[in-house]
Amino acid sequence: MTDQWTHRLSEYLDGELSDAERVELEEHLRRCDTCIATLRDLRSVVARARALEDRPPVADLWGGISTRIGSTRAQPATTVVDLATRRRVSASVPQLLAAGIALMMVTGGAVWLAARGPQALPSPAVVTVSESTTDVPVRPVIEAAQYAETIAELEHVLSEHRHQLDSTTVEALFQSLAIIDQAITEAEAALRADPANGYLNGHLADTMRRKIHLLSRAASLVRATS
Amino acid sequence: MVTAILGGALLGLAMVQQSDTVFSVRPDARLAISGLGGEVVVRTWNRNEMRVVADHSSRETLDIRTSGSVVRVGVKSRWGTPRAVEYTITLPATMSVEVNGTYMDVDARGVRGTVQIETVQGDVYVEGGEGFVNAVSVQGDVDVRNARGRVRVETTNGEIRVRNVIGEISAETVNGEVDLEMVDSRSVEAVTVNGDIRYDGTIHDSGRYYFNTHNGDISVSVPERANVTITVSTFSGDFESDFPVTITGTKDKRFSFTLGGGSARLELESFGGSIRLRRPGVGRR
Repeated sequence: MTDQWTHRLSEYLDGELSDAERVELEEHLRRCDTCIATLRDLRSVVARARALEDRPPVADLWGGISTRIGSTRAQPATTVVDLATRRRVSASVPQLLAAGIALMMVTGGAVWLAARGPQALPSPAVVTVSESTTDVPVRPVIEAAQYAETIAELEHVLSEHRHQLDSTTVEALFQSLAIIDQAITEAEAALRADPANGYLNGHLADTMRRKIHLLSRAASLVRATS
Repeated sequence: MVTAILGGALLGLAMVQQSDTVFSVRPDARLAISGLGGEVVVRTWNRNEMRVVADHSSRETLDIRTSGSVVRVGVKSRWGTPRAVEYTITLPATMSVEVNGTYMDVDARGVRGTVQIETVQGDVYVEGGEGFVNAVSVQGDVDVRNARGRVRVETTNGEIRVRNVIGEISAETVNGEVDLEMVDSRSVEAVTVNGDIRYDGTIHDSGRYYFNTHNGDISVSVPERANVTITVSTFSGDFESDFPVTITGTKDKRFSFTLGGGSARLELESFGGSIRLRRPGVGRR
């Protein structure tokens, strides 16, 4: 459902309305849920676009994907995530959120490689199992620098604004982050011992994504209480 | 002494006030509540009316606004931010419900519209919901039952229980177990970092089922005639099956096998826990 203001929300966001129009629109926003929702979506798109503007293309992501697509056996990725090389940058919470979301969009783009079809067996009760590497879906690698940057930014937001959250919430968030960090540490150690393990690569990437998700959520809580 | 007691009692009476109102609503309307703290209890009835009972501070007044199909319920405070409010709301079952709270427990039962609940600190209990059910907390347990449609359940530090649900399910926590029971779904995804995962439900042909934990066990019921390709992945955990499975040539505890036609995909991943297949209703715990 649209009204006379729906198509002018973009102008409003860009600051292109006259003062009188802006006041009238803001009055309209007080009672129009459709326009509020549309405006929220527009803001989200704008924030996401801004966050993506200066981001260099993730060249090595496609390289890994194309290698695996071209292979009959899935070649596990060798993820090297250097968490020590973190870079502090100044950015707004929405930008940081968008960065996290953008990263999740990139790394979460489903690259599930089904290499071979299932084998039909006559009996559903007794089956034979064979070694499987190709049947294990290989998830895309998280680009190391982008990950470290996003994590550092989101952690910065949380540590800077933790006082805005209830202590119990902060405690729960940090407890969960510690659990995820422990899982990442264990997965990394396991991967060092077995770098070619496709499951471990995927598991590490999933756990890293989970950390971004949690930190993004924490940042959104901060924003909500600002 | 008596004066002091009477004074205290009067002060107590003055601090908490109950508002109770009933008004007409459209059966397809949406309830929207945003609050800082307290509790929201939602119940349904067979009338095109909404009843709002709210226990709040005497410094606050109940604030109900209708805009189009949205009924916003809240409180206004004369001084500062409204404090904890306990709502008990009865509405037409066909209405949708949306609750956004910070320190809030939510208990919604009998709703047949969409249900969207987000809280930061608090437990969420939803019984019902159709189309889309979104139940989210950060510090609290989330329990969804008898829902139909797409169900998304998420918490960070808490347990997840989903029972008697038909539809696509996505369940995620960090520190807590995920328990899915009596599920009828073609798409289920359950993830935790520190906790067990249990699944008792259908394995539909061509369905997709994904269970992942880092530090926990996975227990999944597989119906007798399931057509499913099962992939098991673990690093330091174990695999066991209640029905005969011959495992040959495994490496790194990663393997897959097929039951029947194998059209569904069941992926089971536990870094350090055991993965167990069982028959429905057998040895669930």
